[in-house]
Amino acid sequence: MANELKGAFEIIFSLEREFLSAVGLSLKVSLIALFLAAIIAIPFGIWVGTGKFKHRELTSAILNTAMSFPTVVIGLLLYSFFSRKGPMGNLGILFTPAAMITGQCILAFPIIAALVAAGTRNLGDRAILAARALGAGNIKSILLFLKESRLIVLASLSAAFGRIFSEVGISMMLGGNIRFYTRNITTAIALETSKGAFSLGIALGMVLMVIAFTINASVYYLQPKKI
Amino acid sequence: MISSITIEKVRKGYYPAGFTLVIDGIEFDRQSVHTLVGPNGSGKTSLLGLIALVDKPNHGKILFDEESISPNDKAATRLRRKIGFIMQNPYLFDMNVYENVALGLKIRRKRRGEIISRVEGILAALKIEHLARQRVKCLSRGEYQKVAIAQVLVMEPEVILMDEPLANIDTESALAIEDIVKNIRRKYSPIIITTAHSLSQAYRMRSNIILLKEGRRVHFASGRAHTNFEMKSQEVIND
Repeated sequence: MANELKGAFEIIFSLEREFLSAVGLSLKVSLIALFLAAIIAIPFGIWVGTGKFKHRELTSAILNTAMSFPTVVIGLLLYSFFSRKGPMGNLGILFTPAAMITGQCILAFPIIAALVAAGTRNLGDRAILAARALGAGNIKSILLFLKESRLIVLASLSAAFGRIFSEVGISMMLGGNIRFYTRNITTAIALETSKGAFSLGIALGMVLMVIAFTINASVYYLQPKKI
Repeated sequence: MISSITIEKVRKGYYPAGFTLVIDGIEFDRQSVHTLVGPNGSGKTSLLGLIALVDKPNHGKILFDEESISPNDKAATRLRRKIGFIMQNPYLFDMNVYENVALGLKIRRKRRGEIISRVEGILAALKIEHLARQRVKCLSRGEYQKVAIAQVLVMEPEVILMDEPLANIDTESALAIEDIVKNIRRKYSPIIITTAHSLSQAYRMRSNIILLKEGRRVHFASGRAHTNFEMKSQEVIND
């Protein structure tokens, strides 16, 4: 084990191509997927949290259920769509980073939307009412509300990033684990472990943990502290 | 300057609570403070919400100087800037005390110099100037309430609505707030409508008392006729 650990540090500090490629792809795919999911999920979550419509509770329940979708189920579903004979086979994106981004986007969407909805449920009415009572118009009220809910949004993005950055099912099924092309941190760890080459796996695992911790710690330190 | 607010045959149902507010006619003017008194669930807060244009009646009209305004009207945003509403459970934004108090003035696009002097003035009057840079999440309940009061009074609104403003506030601060309200009245006599559980505050302010019960107005007494009114009011409150 000591040798593997030593090897892992050597890989990290020597910045091996294989190692950098996996880290770079993981960050690229997950950040793009998070960004695309957030564009739709944040407004949708606010709508579910603060809106008054007939099936609000049902929508919330569906979102909450979708949060625990197994990644392999999403992978399987999209695989059947993107495979050559599938309805979207003509796009030719199976086993490309684009397919991985699509899958991670679907994985991130309910996490962001459900957490934003839960966080803004009570805040929405009170903050907008307070803004209106101070004489703010509709646009100013919404801007004040968005500023007020920034930490909720940030926390939901952090949770979603943690989930998609560390998932393996979607990346493996839709990316195909192609070296220097679709091999990211998690698929590389799975492969290296199965080969018995633990050093690269441990190095990638450490980087994965450090990135996830940095993002969560940043969110924690951005929150105002009670004295 | 708004000189009167008239409630005309207003009905407002609240579901699923099953409560309905029914007010056939009340006029609030600038001559004196008006206090809505009544037990819990009598409709005091609901009535203030309608007057503040944050809620809409099912039927009837709220007239501001004879002009009927509904919360969805374009004129409502303009009018809301003349109304200051201190809520029972106020909400302050995740900023420091100074920024919260200055927020209404910024929305009204007041000059920076004026904002600074008015905010500093109201914080000093309420003896909370030492909290200016404190974030509101760090405040005690009483301090939080005082900041909410400062946030509204600093705007010197033409209509001041106060929903049990002195709840959670110590006696000394409550008297200080009453003095500020008296000074505001002397300065520009806005329409002031407040709610209270107890009559003592209404007596101190020599206000008109409107007694509500189960969503209906059951009694009214002008500021000069309190002595005869006391027995009747207390009966309804205790009932």
